[in-house]
Amino acid sequence: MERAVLIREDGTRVDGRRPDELRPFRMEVGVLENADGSAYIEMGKTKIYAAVYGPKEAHPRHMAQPHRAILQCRYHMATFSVSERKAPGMTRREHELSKVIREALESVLFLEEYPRSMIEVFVEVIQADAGTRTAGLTAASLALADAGIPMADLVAGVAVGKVAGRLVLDLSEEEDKNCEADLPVGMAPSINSIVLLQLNGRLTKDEFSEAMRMARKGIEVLYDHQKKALQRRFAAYGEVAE
Amino acid sequence: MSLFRLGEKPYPTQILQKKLYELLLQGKRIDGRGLLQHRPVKVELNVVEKAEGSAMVTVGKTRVVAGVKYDLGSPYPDTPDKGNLTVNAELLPLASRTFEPGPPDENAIELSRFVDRCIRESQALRLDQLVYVPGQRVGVVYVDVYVLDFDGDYFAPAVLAATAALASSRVQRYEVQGGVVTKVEGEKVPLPLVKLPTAAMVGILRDKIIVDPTALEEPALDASVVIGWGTDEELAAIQKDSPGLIPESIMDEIIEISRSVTINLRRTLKELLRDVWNPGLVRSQEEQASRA
Amino acid sequence: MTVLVNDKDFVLPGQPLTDEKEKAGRFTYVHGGVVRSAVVGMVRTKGQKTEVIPARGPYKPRENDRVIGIVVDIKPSYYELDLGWGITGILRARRAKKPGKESQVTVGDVIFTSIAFAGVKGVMLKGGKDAHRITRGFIVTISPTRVPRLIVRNRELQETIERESHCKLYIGLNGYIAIVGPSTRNEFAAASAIKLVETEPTLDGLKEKVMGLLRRALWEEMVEE
Repeated sequence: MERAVLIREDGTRVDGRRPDELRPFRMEVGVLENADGSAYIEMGKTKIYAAVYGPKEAHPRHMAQPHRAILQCRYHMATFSVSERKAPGMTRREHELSKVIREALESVLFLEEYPRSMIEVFVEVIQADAGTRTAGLTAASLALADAGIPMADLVAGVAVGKVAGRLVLDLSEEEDKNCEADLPVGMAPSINSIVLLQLNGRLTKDEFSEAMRMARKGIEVLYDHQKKALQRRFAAYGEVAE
Repeated sequence: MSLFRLGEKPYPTQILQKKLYELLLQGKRIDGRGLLQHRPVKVELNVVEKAEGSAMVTVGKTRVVAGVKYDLGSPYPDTPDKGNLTVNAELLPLASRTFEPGPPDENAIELSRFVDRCIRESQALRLDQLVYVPGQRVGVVYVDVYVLDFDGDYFAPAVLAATAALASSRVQRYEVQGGVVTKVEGEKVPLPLVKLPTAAMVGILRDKIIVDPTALEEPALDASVVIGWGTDEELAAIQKDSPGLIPESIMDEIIEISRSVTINLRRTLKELLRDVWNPGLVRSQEEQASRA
Repeated sequence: MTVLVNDKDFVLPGQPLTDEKEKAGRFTYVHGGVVRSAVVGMVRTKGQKTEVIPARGPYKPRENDRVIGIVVDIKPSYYELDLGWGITGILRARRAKKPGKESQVTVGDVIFTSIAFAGVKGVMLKGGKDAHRITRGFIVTISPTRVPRLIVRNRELQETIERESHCKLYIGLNGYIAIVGPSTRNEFAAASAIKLVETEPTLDGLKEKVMGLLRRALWEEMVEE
């Protein structure tokens, strides 16, 4: 059986992208009616909805904190989002990613503004083609901004991987399955801060620095589109009166 | 803007009931619809390419997505000559303040089982045509339905989404030679769906009957019932999904109302599916199989 | 001093507004010597502070705000009122002058009152003469950031709706609005008008649109008779 060529001689990838090129993507804010804030993102074939409810009463009551809101986050995948059907319910991976996304968001949210309350973030993956935690983070940030939750900055994320010895930006599923390293990164670009960081695989120190540089550039492109998506949403929303 | 969702809080529902009824007496509902008028229905097919089939249904503000996955598996011991069908539905916490994250609660389970009955009891899906090696290898069809946004009645959209996803599915083709099942690479076939089940929710408030209640109307109703039809003539599933009394005398009328509503839904769906599904598809597959 | 934005500009979270730290006002924060926006909204740079008016968001209780709360619990000497957004307000119960003549306040009651104070420890509501119980009509909820639309220009839109629908509106800055009118038809018409005020993108011509909606809704009723 022929092994797919992941990087061609001219440096292009399986889907024709250059190493530092993002997949085609699209973002929309305010897509669900009930949620206090919501957003939808597509990156390549990855499709994700994010919704925010809150601030609301904390429950169970004993979990409420006197000085701040508590943040809860659930990252969940639909059974049909992947090629081999995933069992319903939360797997260990979904629990880990829920925590990682929650902590990334907590890094920038001003939760002290809403003591004794709770803010819930739901990230639902409808179709998965790698990069779901970073795309989910990007959408969740938009949903929180849509809900008017005060934050230091929007956050956006992308994964950098090492494929056939080369560093590439925004792994697709095929690349993710055959990579030597996978580095998901989330950042708050205006305040030059990292909010999400994981490594799965092998990288040298220099490769890591180069990968971070690539991630930063990709994140800036996504961030720019987040801002545009918010502008579109609020242009439709209209004038603010005092 | 929202009016209070009284189901969430301990506020008396009598006030809202009274007000809704006063409007109904004038033949109107809060959103201006007639009593028996369904909200406009929008169906998009193939929203998840990785699924064998999928559909997104929007009814008013309610939004539901269904996906079909197909695989090979062992038949259940008591049905060695039939494929398997598993239906799962979830009320995602994204959809409403009132949906908690966690394992499916009784409402989600009720929805799963109702959608299952609509498809299974109507015999819409010919499970007997999903057998590769009797008693050993059969096709397993998974239908998963997720409610993404909720504004009353997730039953009707869920059944519609599941039916549309099944009807537009294309699954891996297999062939059997000497008891061995192999993939026919690059070939896909439709599922043996011979009917288009659809459902409708009917609500009762005193002597008034309404169709397709919104989230605001639902808690104010005396009772509600969800009715699924496999075809224009045959019932497939009924579920009284709320506490409350339904006057025996109006039950026939309720059934007839649900019949005309579901006929309309079926017609709309058929039109949408005209390029991807017709009952004849299944028959021609049978012919192909018998010729082989 | 650097002016980075103009008064009434649309701003996003993280966006730099000014480098004068002392000017950091509501919904802004300071990072690395720069005042930045914390929300999506409209920046106001006139006056002492640079602040951002959120385009959408939860209600933040402030002293003297008129609000509507729903009684959710009754304790021996006070009531707990739900103001939405996870906020519980405390309303001290009036001591009964005669035994057996306790207050008739029950769970589910709607109270129109003001905020006495709001801090980290919680929200205290004004009682006594400042608190009214609303016993008829019903409640609609709108985004708290849209409530000002009803109140600006001397309550122009509020009065227009009240006049055309013959309903009284009790407007809570927490986004809860009680509508009390002569009939359900009138009350629902007023609710539709409030929804229009909430969702229309621009304030221009809104008054005329509201009047048109209410006249059509209530004229029909007269014609049918």
